[in-house]
Amino acid sequence: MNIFELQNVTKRFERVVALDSVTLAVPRRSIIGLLGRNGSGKTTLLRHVTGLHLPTSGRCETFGVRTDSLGPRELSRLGMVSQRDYFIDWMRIKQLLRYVGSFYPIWDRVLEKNLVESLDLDLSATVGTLSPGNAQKLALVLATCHHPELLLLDEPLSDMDPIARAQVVQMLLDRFNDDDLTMVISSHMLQDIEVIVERVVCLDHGRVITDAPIDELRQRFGGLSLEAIFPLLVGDETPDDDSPAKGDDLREAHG
Amino acid sequence: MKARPLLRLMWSPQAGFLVLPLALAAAWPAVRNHPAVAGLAAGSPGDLSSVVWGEAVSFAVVAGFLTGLITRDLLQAPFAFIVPSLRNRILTGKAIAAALIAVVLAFRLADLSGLAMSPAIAACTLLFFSIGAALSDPVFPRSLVWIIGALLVIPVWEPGHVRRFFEFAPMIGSVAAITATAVLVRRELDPDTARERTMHPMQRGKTSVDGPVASTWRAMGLARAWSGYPRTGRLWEWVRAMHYENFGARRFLWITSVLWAVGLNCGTAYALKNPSFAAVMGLMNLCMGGHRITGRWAYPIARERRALVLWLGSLVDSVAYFALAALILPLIYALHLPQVILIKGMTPRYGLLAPLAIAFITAPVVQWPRVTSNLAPAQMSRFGPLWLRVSLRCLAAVAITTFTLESLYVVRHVVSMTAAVATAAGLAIAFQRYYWINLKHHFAGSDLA
Repeated sequence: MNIFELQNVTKRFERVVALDSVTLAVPRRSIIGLLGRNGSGKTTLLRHVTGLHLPTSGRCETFGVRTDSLGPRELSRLGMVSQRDYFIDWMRIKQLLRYVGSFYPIWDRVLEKNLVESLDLDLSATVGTLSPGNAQKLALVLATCHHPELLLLDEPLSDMDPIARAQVVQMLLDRFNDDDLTMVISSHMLQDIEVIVERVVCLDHGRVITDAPIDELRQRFGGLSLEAIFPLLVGDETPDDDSPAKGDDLREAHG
Repeated sequence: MKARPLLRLMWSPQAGFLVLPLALAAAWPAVRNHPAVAGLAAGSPGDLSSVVWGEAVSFAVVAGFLTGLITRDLLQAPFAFIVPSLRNRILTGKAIAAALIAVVLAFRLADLSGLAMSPAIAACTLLFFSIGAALSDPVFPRSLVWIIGALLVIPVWEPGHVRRFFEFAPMIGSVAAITATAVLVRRELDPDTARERTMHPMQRGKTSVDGPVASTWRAMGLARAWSGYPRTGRLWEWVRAMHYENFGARRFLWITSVLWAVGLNCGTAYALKNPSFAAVMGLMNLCMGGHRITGRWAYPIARERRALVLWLGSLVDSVAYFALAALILPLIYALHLPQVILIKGMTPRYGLLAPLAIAFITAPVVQWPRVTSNLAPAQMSRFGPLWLRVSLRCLAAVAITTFTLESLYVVRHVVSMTAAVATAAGLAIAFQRYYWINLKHHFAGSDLA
């Protein structure tokens, strides 16, 4: 059974078509890498899965329920880290964790403590004063401590330093192994997510242009890294000025 | 040939400042011939002179305050810091505005107090203009704002004091006023303060949430701890959660903010001899503040329940304001405090409570755009149209209120008080029900982020 499914979903914001006839089905217990250039529709797609956005046309279901009818039962099984998370600025981290924890039937205090320690978060810090990187770490803690079945991560690593990124990737892998988890990660940090994603979905101008297992992609592109494959997927084959040979290799591989 | 430079001027910041005093100056004859002033003219010359001094003081403070607000908006606009000489251009505009107002008021008062008084009047105007501008300065010390704001009540309420002071010692008064103005202007010109003023929104985002006030509240043990359980799914728990998000920063924050609004609006309504003021300002309050779900999280709450929580929050806000106002307004009237002498005022022919009741009925009209505009950032970003809609709805609510009041006035001799109360209750229920149905429908099909 698929954990979420989009059928011919189109989303228009006035004249802008953010999603254009997107059809996508994600099975349980998988890790999907959602790629695309800025404005390609990644955030909009993830928001459709949570029911924050509703399709202009088409059908979108999460946990087998239409997303406009998601109730507490379904939403409690879902965790999300948004690109620009809004927190309640006046709260301290400790207060926010207690507050958000009260929304869910299960809130793992032990996991919360472990994550706060491993991600080096100061419980007494005021949320409004957090650096962007620490705000992302906090968002990850808030999105995982209720053991969601579906974790949607929209640019979860963009503001973190390399050490923190490695910690978070390891933490996500642990969650995947410990929980019956399905993850969708939208990120431009392709080197970081390459080690964990099983399948790549690439969006361009609101359309799904690639939906394939990562191994198949590597095979198709001659063993190149995801970072090297991405420009080829979105049709930007311009070689790096400093390394013409690399550009030639890419074309050859693609051809 | 001359059109292009004029157009260029109209696009510059100075133009904004020129428009304000020119518009006010143009409106001056109408103010002068207003029955409230004309009526007083029949009294002693001292009365009329005090009235006009009062106008001068209030006028200068309000004009200064407004120009200060415009300055703040301009300086804190995105990328304002890269506009060459923006601060100097703004200061020039401000100086022109202050000078224009001073000249207009000096001439205005000269025929009442004599031409010799003109410099003193101009100095007085400049001082009050600078005070008004300082009050809207985001980096002006908050404690001083409160103190000056409280002290300002005296000259605005009883302008006779200002008149007598300047007439008794025009020279000393002028020197004192100019010195005080110079101190305020010097602060305005200080480059460090100017930089701080431009950066203020960013600093506020970093510090205000944990500033000295918040720390003091915490130290006093007045910060609230969360003890709700929305996981139970009970409606009241979600309403509590929304209340905590909005007003949990410290204990009694919500009730004190309602009390402030009610006290201020009812007090002003009494001072202005217009009970409807408390009703209209109540609508403005509901339009600007109150409960709402602020986050863009995927809260584990169904869309219909979310709409219900918001509807209840709106209802709590309007009941709290209007119920308290219904208690406090008659109380203030019973105290027989002095009223502003330069206002003739309206006869409270509808009684004290009828305007409040009608405003309560129409409250959903102004609450609707605020509650629903929180949904999508795309809507929020279109700030102008959003606020235009809010203002139009406010005007609509005021129009409905006035129309209903007039109708009540006409029919009150026909229907009994019981029938009037029953009609008001029926209307309130109908409006609230219509509001709820619309909210439910809106949340069923709108984007939440």
